[in-house]
Amino acid sequence: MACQKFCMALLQWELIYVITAFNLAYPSTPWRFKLFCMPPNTTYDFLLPAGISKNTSNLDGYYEPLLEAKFNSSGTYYSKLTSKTTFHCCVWSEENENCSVQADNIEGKAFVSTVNSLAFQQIGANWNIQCWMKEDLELLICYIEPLFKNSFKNYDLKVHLLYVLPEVLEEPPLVPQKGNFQLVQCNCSAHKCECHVSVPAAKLNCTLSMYLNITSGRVIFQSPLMSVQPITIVKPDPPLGLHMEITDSGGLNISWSSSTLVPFQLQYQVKYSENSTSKREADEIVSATSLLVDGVLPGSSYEVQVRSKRLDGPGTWSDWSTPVIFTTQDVIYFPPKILTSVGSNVSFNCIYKNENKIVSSKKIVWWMNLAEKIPESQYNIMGDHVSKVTLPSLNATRLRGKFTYDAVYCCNENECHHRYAELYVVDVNINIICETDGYLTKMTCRWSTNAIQSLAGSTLQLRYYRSTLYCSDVPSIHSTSEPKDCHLQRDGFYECIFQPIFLLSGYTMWIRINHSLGSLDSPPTCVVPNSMIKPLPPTSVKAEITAKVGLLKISWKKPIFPENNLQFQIRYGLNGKEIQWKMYEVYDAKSKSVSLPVPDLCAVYAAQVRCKRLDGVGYWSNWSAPAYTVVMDVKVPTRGPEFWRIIHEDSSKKERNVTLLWKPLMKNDSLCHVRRYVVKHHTAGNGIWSEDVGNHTKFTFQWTEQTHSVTVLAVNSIGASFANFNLTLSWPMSKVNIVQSLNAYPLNSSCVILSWMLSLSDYNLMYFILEWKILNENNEIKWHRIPSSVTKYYIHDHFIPIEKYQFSLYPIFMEGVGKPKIINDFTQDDIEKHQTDPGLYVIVPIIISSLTLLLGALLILHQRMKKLFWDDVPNPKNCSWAQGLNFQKSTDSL
Amino acid sequence: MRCGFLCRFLWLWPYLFYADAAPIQKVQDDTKTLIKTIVTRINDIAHTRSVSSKQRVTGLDFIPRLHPVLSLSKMDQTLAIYQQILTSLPSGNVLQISNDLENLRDLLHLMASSNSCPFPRTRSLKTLEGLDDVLEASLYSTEVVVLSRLQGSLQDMLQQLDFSTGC
Repeated sequence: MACQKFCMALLQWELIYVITAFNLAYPSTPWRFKLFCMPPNTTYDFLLPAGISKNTSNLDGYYEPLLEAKFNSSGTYYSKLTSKTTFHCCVWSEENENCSVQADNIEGKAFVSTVNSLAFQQIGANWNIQCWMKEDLELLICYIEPLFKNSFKNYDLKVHLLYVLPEVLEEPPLVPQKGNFQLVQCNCSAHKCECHVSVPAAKLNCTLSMYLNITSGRVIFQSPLMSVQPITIVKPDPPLGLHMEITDSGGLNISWSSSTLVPFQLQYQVKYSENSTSKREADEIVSATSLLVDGVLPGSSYEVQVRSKRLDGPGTWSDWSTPVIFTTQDVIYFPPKILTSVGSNVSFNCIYKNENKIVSSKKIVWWMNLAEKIPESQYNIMGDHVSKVTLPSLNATRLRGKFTYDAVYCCNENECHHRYAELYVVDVNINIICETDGYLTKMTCRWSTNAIQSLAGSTLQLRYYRSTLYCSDVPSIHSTSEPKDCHLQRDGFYECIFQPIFLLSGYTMWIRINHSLGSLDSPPTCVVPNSMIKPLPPTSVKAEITAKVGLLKISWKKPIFPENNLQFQIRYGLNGKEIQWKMYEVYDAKSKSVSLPVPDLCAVYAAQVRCKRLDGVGYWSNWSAPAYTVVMDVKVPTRGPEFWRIIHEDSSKKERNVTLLWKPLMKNDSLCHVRRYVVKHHTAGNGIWSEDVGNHTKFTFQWTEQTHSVTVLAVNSIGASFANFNLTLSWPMSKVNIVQSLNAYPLNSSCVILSWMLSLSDYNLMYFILEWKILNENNEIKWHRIPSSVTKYYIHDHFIPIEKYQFSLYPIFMEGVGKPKIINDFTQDDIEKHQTDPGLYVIVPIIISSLTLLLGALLILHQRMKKLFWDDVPNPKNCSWAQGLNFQKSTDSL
Repeated sequence: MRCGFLCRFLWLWPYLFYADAAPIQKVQDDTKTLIKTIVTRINDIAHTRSVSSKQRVTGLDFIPRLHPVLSLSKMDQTLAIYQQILTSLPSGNVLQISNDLENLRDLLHLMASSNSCPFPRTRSLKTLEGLDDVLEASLYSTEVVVLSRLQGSLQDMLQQLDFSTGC
């Protein structure tokens, strides 16, 4: 009984238990397992070798060579099989020591028994199988290879994978019918087979049912039905872009790029080895795409590999990435490069290895550009080997040829390694100028990059932050800033437009300089659009010379915006190519016009107006379009024209015709256009009457009465001139002679001086009329009005020397025109005098020449006399008696 | 309760801060100037100028009507409704007016804070009932009426601010 019970128990243990699992597929996770197969009709009570425990945990390592030896012998068994034989297989994974075997074929009714896998390992053909989803989530790959490669060396392996992928998610999966399976032929080569199954993206979460048919000669190995969800066996590709660099803190940063295809987060396994004076190896699992290794040493090499796997949930490790080796230099600077702004403080650290020995940090000295030693007060010892230098209040880096950085050297006393750290100091004081348009809807900000042109490879970006109202006293860079698109203009400025705007909000903005070495921010500036308004120029600008008042009146309309009070600036000037502007400012916001005195009322003036907020905030508007005055009559003419008369006497008819001549009035006097002239007569007999002469400047009338007064008036659109010249023609007065003498002296061909002397008179002398003409010719008479106080007058005219001129000086009295003094030529004495004058210019040089000649003759004569007188004096050298005598002295005494 | 008081305090803190920073006279001047600016902006929109004030438009009861006397908080509420309607309008030229209203409401808060009568900011309003339907069917009427009434309301507010700048 006891034996029976023991046998029953053993059978139960060997077979474990028989599960009648109708229509059940074997789930396998993870999808890496061994397939153990054995021929049909083989009992499971295969005995283990003596001394080997049935506990499979003891089999690792020791048992496998034994199995292989056993299996190699079983190869003979397969070759001896003459009929087609189907081996049933069980699936064994590391997680489950038991093995499931299918007692019947797949297609029909089947039951699955779970038996100890050890039995299969000992007697059957075994396979390593690994299945996974590729990273692209489109392809399921199964990789099959015999566990003992020699077993099938003489046979061609043919592997088929049969699978069913249901249309919808099913739970639990049912065993599909025979006809539902799709067959995939696997590619086999040298004991390895690879099967590819395309999995649509929509079915990644479905349960895929499959089994394998492995044919080798006459033997068929058939796996049990297996099931898997493709999404649970994704095997990512190895990480890419493995990169190592020394961090600013002196560590080694290992980084790589993550796959973007997988829909879940990955974890990474990093293994690295350090090869320096000592070796160290490590293996770490991280969820980030970087790993920081501390304590990097100079002159060391680091070999690193990374692989990845799904972070949460089932998955498969990817293959290891290609190993990357990073070798540190003999001198390590950390950071190796610094980008910073003017005025900031920076620090460099250094570890220096010299001749296989790391230099003590106490012996390290720092140099700048190999030109100047950095003072030791700026050094800090950070450890036995790490030295630190701090550079305070940095100035902008000066360009040295093509070098845009300062080279900072870490040296071992008097010896510097050729490697250096790079320091880029940039002046980031970028001025941002903003302007709000006249419609208060747009703010344009401009900034120039001239200050940072030296930093090649940098990009610039305007960032801003808007506060609800106004600006804070000290603008600061805000973390929630936004970038603003700016466009480079032809003038080298960037222009950024905010539209629409918040008129009273504070826009704090700064320029961010992005560079591979880091980013820098310019000092922030804050602007309120309402304070940056450049108004539209005033409209409806008009300029006119006001009638009768005679002022330049400029009027305008203020622009619709801003609603603040405005001040105005007016500029005006005589119109021309280059207008000489005069300025006038109006601080009364309600003013709409100004009237300004101008010297010339009959000229065209141009005027422009611009405006700005009265409180001085913002900008001046552009000047308005110029407005021009129109020349028109402003006042009545300031005076009537000067006029003179010519009397034509006809002795036969005893008539005297008087022709009045006058010069047209200039604009200054006519203000501005004379429309006509009016001659006003006054005689004792006929009283007063006027005659309209029109635009003529000559008028003839008959002088019949003894005294006849005439006045010529100028008339424009406003009226007739008030101040006019009068001329009285009087017979009695024409005999009054007060001009005693008149002399004319020609200065040159364009100027003649006339002088005269007067005698006393009881009449009221008003002025003189000086008249001149070429004698004996009926040429035009020329005349000038000369004030009565003058006794000498210059006539500027074109005088022809060969002509004779007649000059007449008429005294004009209140009572009438007096008797003229007439001369028909220039004053003779003076002419003669002037004619002798040229003699002076001849005689004086002759006299001077004569005197020079005389002086010369005297000098020659003197020399001649000297020679004659001393001709008989003996030569002391030839005459013995004369020796010793001083003749010079004798001569002097002579 | 504690949280409510604290939240209220934190909500008002920026305005208290600005009240310290900006002189009250400047705030009042800016408020009046901004109101005038908005009124001028509405005047400048051509199709609002030609609308007759004699004709009454019905069916737009969600647009606030004129109220002669309003407290600062009521002004804020009224402007919030106008702002919501304006942002629903597709016209580009009312977007700037909507921004101006935002600034104007901020100024009202600042004035209230400086007058020691702060009020919480009107939170975003629920979608006005039937606004979408009305806009789809009567966009022109809505724009004209809302701008017209806003202009009137602003002029009333301006008068009131001239008269008294209390709470």
